[in-house]
Amino acid sequence: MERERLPVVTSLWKRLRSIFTHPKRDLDAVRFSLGERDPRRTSAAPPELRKPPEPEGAPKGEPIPEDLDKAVERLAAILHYPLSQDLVFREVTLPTKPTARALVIYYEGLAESRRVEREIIEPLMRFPLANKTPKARLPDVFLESILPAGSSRRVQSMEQLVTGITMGEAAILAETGVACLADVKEPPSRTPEQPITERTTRGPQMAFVESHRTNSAMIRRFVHDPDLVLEGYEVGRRQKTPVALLYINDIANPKLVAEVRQRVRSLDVDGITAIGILEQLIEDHPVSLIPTMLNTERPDRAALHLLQGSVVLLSDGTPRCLIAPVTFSTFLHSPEDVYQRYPYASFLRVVRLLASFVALLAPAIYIAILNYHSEMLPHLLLVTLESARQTIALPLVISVLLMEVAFELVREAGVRVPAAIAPTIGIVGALLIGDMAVRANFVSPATIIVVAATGLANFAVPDQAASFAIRIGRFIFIALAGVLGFLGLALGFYVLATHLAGLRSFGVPFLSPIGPSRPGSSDIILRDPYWRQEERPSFLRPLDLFRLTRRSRAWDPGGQPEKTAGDEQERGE
Amino acid sequence: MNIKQGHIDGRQATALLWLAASSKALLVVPALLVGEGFSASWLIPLGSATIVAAAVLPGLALMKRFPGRSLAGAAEEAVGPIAGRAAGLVLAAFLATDAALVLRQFSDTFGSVILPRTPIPVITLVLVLTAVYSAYTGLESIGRLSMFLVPWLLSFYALVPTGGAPDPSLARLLPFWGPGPGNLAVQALEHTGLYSELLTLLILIPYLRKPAAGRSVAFWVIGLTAAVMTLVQVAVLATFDVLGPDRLLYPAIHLVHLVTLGRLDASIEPLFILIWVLIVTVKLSVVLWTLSTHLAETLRLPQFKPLLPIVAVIALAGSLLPGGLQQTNNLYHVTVTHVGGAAVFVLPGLLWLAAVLRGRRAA
Repeated sequence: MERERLPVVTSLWKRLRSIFTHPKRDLDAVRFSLGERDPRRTSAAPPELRKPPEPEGAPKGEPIPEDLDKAVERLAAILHYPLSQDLVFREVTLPTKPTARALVIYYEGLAESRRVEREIIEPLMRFPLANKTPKARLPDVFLESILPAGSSRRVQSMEQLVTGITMGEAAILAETGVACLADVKEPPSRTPEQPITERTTRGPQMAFVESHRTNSAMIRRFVHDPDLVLEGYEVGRRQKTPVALLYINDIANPKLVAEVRQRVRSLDVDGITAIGILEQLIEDHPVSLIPTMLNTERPDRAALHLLQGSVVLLSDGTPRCLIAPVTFSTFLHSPEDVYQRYPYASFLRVVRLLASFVALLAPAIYIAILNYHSEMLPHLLLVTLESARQTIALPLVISVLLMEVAFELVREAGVRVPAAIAPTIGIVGALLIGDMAVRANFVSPATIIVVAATGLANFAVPDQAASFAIRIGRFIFIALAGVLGFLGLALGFYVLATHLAGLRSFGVPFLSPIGPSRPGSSDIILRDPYWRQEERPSFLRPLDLFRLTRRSRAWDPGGQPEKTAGDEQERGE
Repeated sequence: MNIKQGHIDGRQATALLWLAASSKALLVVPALLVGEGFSASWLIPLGSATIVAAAVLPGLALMKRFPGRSLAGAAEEAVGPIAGRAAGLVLAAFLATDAALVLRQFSDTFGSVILPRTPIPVITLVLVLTAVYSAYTGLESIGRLSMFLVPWLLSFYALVPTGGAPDPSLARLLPFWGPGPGNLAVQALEHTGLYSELLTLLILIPYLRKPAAGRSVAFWVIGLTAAVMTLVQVAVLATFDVLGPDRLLYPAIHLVHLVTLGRLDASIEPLFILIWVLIVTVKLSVVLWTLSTHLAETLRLPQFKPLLPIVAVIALAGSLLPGGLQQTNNLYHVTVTHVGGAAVFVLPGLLWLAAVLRGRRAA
């Protein structure tokens, strides 16, 4: 009997132990940290992806057949021609002695037909190729003298060829073994317009567009720095969306750049249609309510973050960019803060911080006080509130939830309806839902005031993602306050604070520079005058910590810092 | 191989342990101290602090002797695997008792004073769940959160004694020596368990960014905790006199109850509830983290997080064992404040002595 029991016990113990030792249950593992003391990382992606991509060398994949007919046949098979009717095969006779055949292949609509005609076919037909040109030199002659300069390249594998065609380039195949791609795509685009969600009264009035190349150019317009690097990647097995990683080489921490690069390069998806999908794929805490990357439509804001040592990601097709890493205070900042004088910016940030707390906690505090802790209120106020509630048929929690849901409905409907009738929705919401709910004794006027103030405060939160987090969190706090009063509020706040304290954004603790505290940060909630912000945020661990000299206001004799020996020596020289 | 845990710096450790230790001042400890030291009960935390400052040194020396090792690992090195694990389990039992009794005290107090219509098991359960989540997020999160809470706690301790008492009188602290200097010295020795968070410090020394900072953290925690406990004790005595705490099981809470906002005539007790809950939750989170980490190290398990639900259930079950609040307080008095001193200071001291006598030190 004992002998039978022993293996059972051993097996049970082994199973129990496997909970602790199973490699996929490494619960204690800590994510990437930017800290120098922290060599730990748990990424499953290959480490070579941390390095920048090597320049294209030997072609990978299937080579292009030397014989033109075979090459065309193979290409047609891959691209499902003639089933795909928008694929164009245009044959051209080259004016050589003897004449040679060439084929231009492109997708109609993706590549612009007029450009194909003007920039490829016409030059091919007119350019006299000398007979004595060596065969091996022909591709170079094509690139140097015939095809449009700068946007043409030689390709050596079918994979490159097919990718180019699907992305809107035109392929040129010739009997002489030439295989080139010419960029003649002209996707629908628009001119930069004013920002929609991040409006400012001061500062540039320009927002990103759908083309990532235009967007990178807009950023370069703000940062004329040769050290601003743009690395290009294609994300997606099928879609191959162009994604650009921008950073300033001598400011951004190489560990941070390598981490972002690795995350982008290791993605194994069909494709990404918008940068929001990329955000979900590479962010640190994808199931958290709290965003850990900044999504902005303003190139000036992206430029400012680049100068601080952050990295920026652009994706073709999205008029926004992603900025990483970010901290808690980033979501309280508005692009306008930089352009305002520092007392105004600081004041507005305090207002926004208060607005965040009001938007998150006001209804919950209202419920907790009236339901559980009415001794907190002055006597007269308590009597007023209670007497207004006497005729209300619904419990306080239900009436607050009702109004909050109604507010969310009005808000969502206002976004969805055509712009012409959007104000009507507001009027219907305010008049019918608010006024009628009070008249019908569903809610008290005080509840309407609290819900309206909460909604207003929510609009003051500058970031849309943070605003969503607050809206959802508000309902959780309402439920907690309804069940447990201030105890529920305190425990909810504790969980939220612990959660925030445990978040990281690309290796940077989310509550930096407050928790953990770091010296030299002069732009958290309150902002120092610009000329006093000598250091970049130290939690980003930039390579070049200082962005201003101590004598940034050198003209001002009163504003001069004390002279140092170094200053004197410099002056002497 | 990945490093398994987050690390915290000395300031975070100090904040965390101070918050945890000072939670005692908000529970039954002031009443217990008045029962033993009468008008001189405020001297007991100071006397205990002096003793503890010396008593913690062997434990710190043990950890210094085995750098990089956990307390469980150091115990095994010092006295061998069997005795070392036994010692580790004794310390784990003490931590579990502490967690269970704090949980019960808080739930009972909150249920009876603040939320009389809410079932106490509900309060216990949400508190445990919150603490488990917090411990699950790791030491770094709790450490950072503690740093946030320090200013609030400071304002809390500054406001309560000064703004609470309607008719405070320092004359109530007389006679100065209370039951007499000799008795007070014995009481101070018996109440070294007030500083039981130093056991937590010994366990988390390997998780300090600079383990050498352990000693300064210990002295800061002892000093700050002694200051808070003395301050609260003085305020309680000056407000309620010696007889009051007999009737008021949790004098600090009643002290808070007296604070009003001047002409607004509104009690700000609920605001203090926030701070009170946060402090007690930090305490529970720290204990649960310490207990699960220490158990994992003692049982040589590579991860502590799967143990968290287990230790939470143990704490929850333990909190239901005492028959009533009085029994809970008595148990707390005996196990944490009295026996706790032996567990926290004597056992590590013996381990250090054994290591010295056997000539064991880290390779």
